[in-house]
Amino acid sequence: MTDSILYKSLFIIILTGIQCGIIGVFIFLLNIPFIGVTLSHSAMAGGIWGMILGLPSRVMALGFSLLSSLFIPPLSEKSRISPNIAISILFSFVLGIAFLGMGLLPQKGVILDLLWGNILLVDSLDIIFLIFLLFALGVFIAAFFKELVAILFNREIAASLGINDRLFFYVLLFFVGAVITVNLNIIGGLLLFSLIIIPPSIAYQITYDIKKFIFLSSFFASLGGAGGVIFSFTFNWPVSATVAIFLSFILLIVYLISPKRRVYAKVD
Amino acid sequence: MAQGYAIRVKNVCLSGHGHAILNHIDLDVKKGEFITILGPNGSGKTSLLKTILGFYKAGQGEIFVNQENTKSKIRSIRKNIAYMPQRLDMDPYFPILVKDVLVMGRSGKGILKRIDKNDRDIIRSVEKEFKIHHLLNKPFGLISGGERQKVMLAFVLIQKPEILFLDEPNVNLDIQAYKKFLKMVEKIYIDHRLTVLFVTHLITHISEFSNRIVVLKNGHVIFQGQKKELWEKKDFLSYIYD
Repeated sequence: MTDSILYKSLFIIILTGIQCGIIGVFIFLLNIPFIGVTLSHSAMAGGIWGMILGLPSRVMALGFSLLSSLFIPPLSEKSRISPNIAISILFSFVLGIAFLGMGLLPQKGVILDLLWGNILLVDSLDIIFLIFLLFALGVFIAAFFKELVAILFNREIAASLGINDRLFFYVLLFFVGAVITVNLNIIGGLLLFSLIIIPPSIAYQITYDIKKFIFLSSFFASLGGAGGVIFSFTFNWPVSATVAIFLSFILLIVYLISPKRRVYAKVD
Repeated sequence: MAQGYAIRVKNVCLSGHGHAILNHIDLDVKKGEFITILGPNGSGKTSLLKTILGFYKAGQGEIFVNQENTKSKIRSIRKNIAYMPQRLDMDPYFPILVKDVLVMGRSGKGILKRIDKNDRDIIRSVEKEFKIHHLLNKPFGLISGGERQKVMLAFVLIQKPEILFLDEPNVNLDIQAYKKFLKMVEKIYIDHRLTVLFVTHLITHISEFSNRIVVLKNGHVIFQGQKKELWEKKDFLSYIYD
C-alpha cells in the first residue's frame, strides 16, 4: 500500500516537475520570479471565493489565476512600470481578496491544503489535468520554439522580426497561470514556487544552450521533486518542505561545481 | 539603384511624457539609398527609427514603407526591415549560443513554419561571408563587443531584408573595431543592394557611402544633404552639438 502511494506520488511529482521546470525557464529568463507567488495567490483567492459562493473551487481558482495573468501586461505597459512592479501591485490586490475570503470562510482548514497541497490526496481527475496540460505545454513550446526564443532574447528584436510578441507573452502567461492552478492543490504554493524558480537557477549554472537549459530545468525539477518525495517517505517529513530543501541543496552543489561560475570569475 | 521610395515619412509628430520628441518630420528614402541620421543624444534619432518600425505610435502624420502604410500592415512591413538596436541590455550569461542567434534571424518567416534547408543555406552562406565559424558554439553574451556587432550584422542579414536600420552600432566599439564594422556594413550595402538608415551621434562616423545626411536636433530635421555640404557649414556643426 505504502509502495503504491510512493509510486503514485513519484509519478505526480515528475509530471509536475517537468511542467514547472519548463514554465520556470520562461519566468527566470523574463525575470518575473514574483509571478509564481502572485498567480498562486490569485488561484488561492479564486478557490476560497468558490467555496464561499458554493461554486466549483477548481474552476474559480483557474479563472482567477488566468484573469490575473492577463492583467499583468496591460498594467505594466499602460502605466509604464516594470512587469515586476505590475506583478507586485497585483499581488497586493489578490492577497487582499484572498484574506478577505479567509475571514469569511467558516472551515479554515481547507486553506492549508492550498498553501501546502496534498500529493497523497490527488485523484485521477488531477492526473488527467496534469497529463493534458503537459501535453498542451509541450505542443506549444515545440510549435513556437523559434518565436519564444526570440522573445526571451529580446522582445524588441522579436517584434522587429514581425513576431507578435504581445500575443505570445499573453499565451505564455496563460500557461503559467494554468500550470500554477492545476498544481496548486496538488503540491501547494510553497513547493510550486520552489519547483518553478530553483530548477532554472540550477540549469543556469550549467549551460549556455537554450534547448539544454529547458531540458536541464525540467530534469532537475523532476529529480529534486522525486528525491524530496523519497526522503519525505523515508523519514516521514512533510513533502513540500523536503522537496524545497532538497532542491536548494542541489542548487548549492551545482553552484559550487558550476562551469559557468568559473567563467564568471574569469570575466570579473 | 532600384526605383521608387523605400520609406516615406510625412509630417510625423511623436510625443511622450508631455513633451515633443519628433516635430513634423518629413523624410523620403529612395530604394538603395544609404542615409545617415546624425544628431546629438536625445535629438530623436532612435525614436524616428522606432516610429517607422511601429514601436512608437506617431500622434500625427503617416509613414509608408514600400508604399504600405505602417498603420495597417506593420507586422508584414517589419519583415522587410532588419533592425539592429543600439544596445541589447542582456544578461551576458543568458543561455544562447551564437549559432542560435543566427537561426533566430529566420524566426520571422511565419508561425508554424519550421527552419528548413533553405533557411539553413541562407544562414551558412552568411556565416561564410562573415567568417564567423569559430564563434558559432560560443555563448553570445561572452564574445567581445566587436564580435557581437559582427554577429548582429550577420543576424540582420540572415533576415534577407530590403531595408537595414542600424542604430548607433558604434556604441561599445573602439575606433579600430568600428572601422572594421563600417567596412562590413558598406560591403553588405553594395553586395546585397540594401536601403540603409544608419544612426550615429558622431560626425566622424559617417560612412563615405552615405548618399545623404539627415541631421536631427530637438526632434526637428535641421539639415538634409551631402556630407560635403555639411562639412562646409563649420558654424552649423557647432550649432548641432550646442
